[in-house]
Amino acid sequence: MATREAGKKMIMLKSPDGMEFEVEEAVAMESQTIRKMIEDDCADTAILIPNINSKILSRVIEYCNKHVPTTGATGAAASDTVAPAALAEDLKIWDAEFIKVNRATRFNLIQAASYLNIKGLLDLTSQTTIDTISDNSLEEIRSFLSTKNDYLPEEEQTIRRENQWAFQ
Amino acid sequence: MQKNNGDDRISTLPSDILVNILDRLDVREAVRTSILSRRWSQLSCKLSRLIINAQPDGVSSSNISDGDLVRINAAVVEATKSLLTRRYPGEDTISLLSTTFYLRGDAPISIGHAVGSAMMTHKIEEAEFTVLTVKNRLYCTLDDVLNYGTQFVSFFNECLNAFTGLTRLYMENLRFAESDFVSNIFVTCKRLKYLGFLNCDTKKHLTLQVKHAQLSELSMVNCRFYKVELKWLPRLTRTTFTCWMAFEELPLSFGHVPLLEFLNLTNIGLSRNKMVMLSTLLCETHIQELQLGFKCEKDLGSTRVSERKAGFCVPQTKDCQSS
Repeated sequence: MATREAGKKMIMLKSPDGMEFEVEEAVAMESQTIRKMIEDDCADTAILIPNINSKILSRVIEYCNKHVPTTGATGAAASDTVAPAALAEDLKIWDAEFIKVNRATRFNLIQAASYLNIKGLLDLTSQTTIDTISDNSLEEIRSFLSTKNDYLPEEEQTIRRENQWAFQ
Repeated sequence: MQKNNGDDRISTLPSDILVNILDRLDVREAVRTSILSRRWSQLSCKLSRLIINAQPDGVSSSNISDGDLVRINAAVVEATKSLLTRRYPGEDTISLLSTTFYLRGDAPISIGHAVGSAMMTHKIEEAEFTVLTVKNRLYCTLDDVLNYGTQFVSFFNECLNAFTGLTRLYMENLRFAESDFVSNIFVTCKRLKYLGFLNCDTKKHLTLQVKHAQLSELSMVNCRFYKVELKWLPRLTRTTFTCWMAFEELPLSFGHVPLLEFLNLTNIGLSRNKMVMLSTLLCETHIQELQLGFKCEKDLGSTRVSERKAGFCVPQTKDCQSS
């Protein structure tokens, strides 16, 4: 749980299953959706995040906590001692660990990142799907993405013909 | 979404998110997913970034055979037509429609017509043409550039609809027989934000007076327009102007360019070139970053021309003392 530090404004985020998360305003504002709510003064003491359950929301907050730019007295000291390149490398390793989740969780994270508009998290969570589509054969993609082919054989032929340039 | 917590099928994601993922792929890979299922076929009709470039990576035109060029152009034509005709008119905005093709045969005009009619039926935020010539700049003869120039002019006149809506245009190795054609580009292409010329000129000496409401970047590399006067470009922020070696004086002047921040001037200094008085040239501008490049006359014969780049900042000031 985040602790209240002097001078840091805290925001309460509520998930639909009733859990409450107290986070620093700067962390919550990693989400462009929440940032807009705060800037437009639509945010009261607590913000209800619809459609994102507590398990996913807590992971999203974990991501934002790690990725919030360090500012202020302590932040400045930290970036003085650690080179930016090392910091970026550290984040990359952290991201790689963070994304080791099952597929259902990943899809939930994609959806949460999209709703909350957190670009870095959306990039990170979409990447596996992007890699799958660009590196594998159609049958492998179909099996990996668990999509069922619902075409009639002649329909499939038509689609192939209409998009012939892409299959050459 | 909570109901689907245990469901690991990607199809549970809403369409806009899936389209966002597909938009990060090469357009060819994205379109291939249309074969997965009916839903995926609809998704690929909603792509918002259509970057169509059939040229294989890392290959320059100098080592592509003519047969390959024809195939590359044909692939761009087919991809452009197919991508645009499969969409539902007016439904999804195209954020970027970019095509790269060679000035050869009927392909440019086919692409121009497809893009022009798409501009009528779809909302297109950014539209780009990168028009390449078959021969590389270093291998072009005078006849080649004249010939390419003529081909470009007929392509342009045939596809005015497309050119009117372009936001970015790059062209190379063109010599225009009619001097006022260059002004014509600025007048017709009203939406342009970027305009790039490489190795272009006109048959007769021309004083080009540029006025454009939208243009933010203008690049003229190895061009031999007699004189370029940037008269009225309220949104221009970046200008690159290199190699005016044919002229004694720098053939560039500034009028109303209130937002101009970046200027790159590079030239091969010949003994007959007059000194460029930066203080006079930049007196009326607010340039913040100035890049100067000097190439030496002595090295002209060798293939590797030594180049020294100097980059420094001019303080934002209107008086001339700083330079």
